[in-house]
Amino acid sequence: MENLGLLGDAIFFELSNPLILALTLFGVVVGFTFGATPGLTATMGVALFVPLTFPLPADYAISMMIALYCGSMAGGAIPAILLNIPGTPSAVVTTIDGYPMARNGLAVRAYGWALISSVMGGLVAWVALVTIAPALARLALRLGPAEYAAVALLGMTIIATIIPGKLSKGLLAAAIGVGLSVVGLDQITGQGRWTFDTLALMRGIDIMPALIGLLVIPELLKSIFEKQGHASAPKSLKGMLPPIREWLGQLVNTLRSAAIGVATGIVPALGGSVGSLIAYDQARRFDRNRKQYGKGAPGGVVASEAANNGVTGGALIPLLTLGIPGDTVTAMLLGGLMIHGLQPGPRLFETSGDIVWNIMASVMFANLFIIVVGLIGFRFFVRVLDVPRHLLTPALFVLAVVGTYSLANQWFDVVIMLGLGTFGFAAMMAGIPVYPMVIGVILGPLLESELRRALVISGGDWTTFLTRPVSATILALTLAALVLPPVIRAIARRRGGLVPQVPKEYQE
Amino acid sequence: MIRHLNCIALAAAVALGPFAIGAASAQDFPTREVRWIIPWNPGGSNDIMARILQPILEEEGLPVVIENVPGGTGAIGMGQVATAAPDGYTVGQGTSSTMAIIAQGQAPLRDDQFTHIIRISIDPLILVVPGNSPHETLAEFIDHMRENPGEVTIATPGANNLNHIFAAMTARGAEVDYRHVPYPGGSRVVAELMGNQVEAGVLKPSETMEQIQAGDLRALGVFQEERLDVLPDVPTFADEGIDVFPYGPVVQMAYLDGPAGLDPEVRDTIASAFEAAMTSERFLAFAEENGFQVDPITGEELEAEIEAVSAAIAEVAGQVFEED
Repeated sequence: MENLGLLGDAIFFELSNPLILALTLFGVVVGFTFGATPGLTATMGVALFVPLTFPLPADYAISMMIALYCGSMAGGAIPAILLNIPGTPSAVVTTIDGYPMARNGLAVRAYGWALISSVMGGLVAWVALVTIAPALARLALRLGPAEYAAVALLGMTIIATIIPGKLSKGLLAAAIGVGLSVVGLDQITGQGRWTFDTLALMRGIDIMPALIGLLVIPELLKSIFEKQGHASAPKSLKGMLPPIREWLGQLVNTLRSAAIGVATGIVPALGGSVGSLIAYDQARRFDRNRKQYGKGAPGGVVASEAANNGVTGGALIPLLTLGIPGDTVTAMLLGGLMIHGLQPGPRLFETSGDIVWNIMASVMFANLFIIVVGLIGFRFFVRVLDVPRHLLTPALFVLAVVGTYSLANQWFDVVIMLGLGTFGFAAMMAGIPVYPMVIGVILGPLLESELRRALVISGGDWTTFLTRPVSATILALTLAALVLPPVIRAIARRRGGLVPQVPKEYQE
Repeated sequence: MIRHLNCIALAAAVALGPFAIGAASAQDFPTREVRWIIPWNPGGSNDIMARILQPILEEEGLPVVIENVPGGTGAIGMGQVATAAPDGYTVGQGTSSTMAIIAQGQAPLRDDQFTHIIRISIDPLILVVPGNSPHETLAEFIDHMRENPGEVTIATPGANNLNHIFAAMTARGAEVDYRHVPYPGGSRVVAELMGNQVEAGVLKPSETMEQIQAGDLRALGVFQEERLDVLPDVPTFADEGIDVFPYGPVVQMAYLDGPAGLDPEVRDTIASAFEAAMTSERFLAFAEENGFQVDPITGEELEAEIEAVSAAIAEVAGQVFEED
């Protein structure tokens, strides 16, 4: 109750402070733009604009930083839907259904779903942050390397099974992705692998150049060869928000996906893409229209966006309550807070309670502003479909090059990006999907290093994965995801086509 | 009288000048902003330190732009420094971690590719255990290691660096084997300790002070000759009769490097601006809060120090990492 009073005070403080609201709005707009522009990333937006907040008083600066962070994650859905190019790594899953919807002429509605789910995901995370944050954060610390490795394996299994096409090709692509992630310094021994004694390769293949190369470049090359371009621009923006009845139908999916997102966000170093993958997989399992998934099901967009914005808010929980950042973006926020003399950690609530509640209020306002910025901003972003392809393709290409370079000011990243882009295009032509490759690059290092770490801790004893209950449960789920569908089908066939409890039209 | 006023005006202009045009040296250095490469991620301890120094440096007449070039234990960013023009407009943050991989021949860089400008910080390292660990003192922890040879886990951020050396030295002190668990960064080690995934960790006070004060972590020992001002009750390893420097003194430090062949006058200009900024009240207060030490040595003294530490690391690494 006392906390509610403090939160109320903070909300009122911000409401009575037009400058804070203006800075929050500005942060959301900037973050949103970075997230929505392919090639520019959330990390970059935060890195560029956080230093600008340094001269501001702490309250103001923190509101703007939080808004930048929340806004950037919500913007990623726009290019994912319109161009099949995810604006952030966590929007990868959004493309799976968002882009087919746009091609079916439903770009505006697809974005409506994405927007409303993003905000809902953000708000669910906010509620978690305000109510049960410290307890949750402590609970998440009980997960160690064994569980991380198991989750990475689960994520890879899911991506290989949800991408339409042959499972074998999906697994091949995932393996290629893991192979790419091996380049660079070994996380455990610190020794170089495949570096050929060059500085450039010592750094390894970073996620962002690989992501931009594998997802943006093949898409651009494909658009050169295709007769029909991207989805045509919708004539009006009417019908963006889905009717309330339809939305109520997705409410369970939204809440479940947001909860999955928050849960993955709280675990340090898991990252957003795992959250949206698991949420997507769950949504597909429970949806009656599961055949539509991958061809333009609103449920897929809802799951991915609710989850990845849940991750955003979830990642703030360990940052604020334990002082542990989960990814590069929250690490930068940690730096930003420290420069303003705040030390995020277990004592932050005691030492600077008022500022913590201001942060909470900012998260709420940022999410509310996302609705406004999304509704208005989409009008401008959707115009990208009006741009003739002979202008759009080179412009996106330039953005990809500039964006990749500016990630770490490394020309070699551009070389990697272009090389992987060409490779990705060739793979696409051969019918090998590129998404599992990207997920392989993201989850490969997690799987490899956490597996080895778990084994170091257990002294080389592999049973650690089975004797730790959470790890064993996740592994059982992974096995079930691979084995159960064919087994159920086989049993059904033997019984003469009858599947217990599942009506026929819902079968795959 | 009027001339007198002019003099005052001139003095004021000179005093305020650095804000606008930068201070003039014998060679008019700097005429533009200096690029300061931090070879670590934004938000890390080196980055935060740089961003605290940036405005103070500007007041001292040395405008700097901070550029994060992370990767390869700092070798990527320092590689850019090594190959930059030696005109003083590109400098970088060298650290003992990068020095360690160079000394072990794991990065295609050499120490003679750099001009060492000034030492920025010394970071003591400490042995920490979870707040609910049964081991209240260093002696108890060492006994625990002896009773469970080869089974006690000690985590470090990264491998083949000073943290790793001190983890190995702790085990050497206990005369047993141990399990070394490297993580990608200090914050992950803190998380794993708080979750009781590992039994101990080697970290900087700046990474752990918050958690130590909240009782989530407990500091058992300090890997240096003297106790720390921020943790006066925590003994050094020597207090407990354990020699963690059997191969000579090694210390975790950060220092400013330029490319080899930097003009001595330019070097001195940069060094004096940094020295002034680092000894400012603002920076000293920041250092005290975060438990690192400021000891701005320059010139031959710095060269000698880096050479000594580098040689010690190479020596220790040869002995220690072979066994791992």
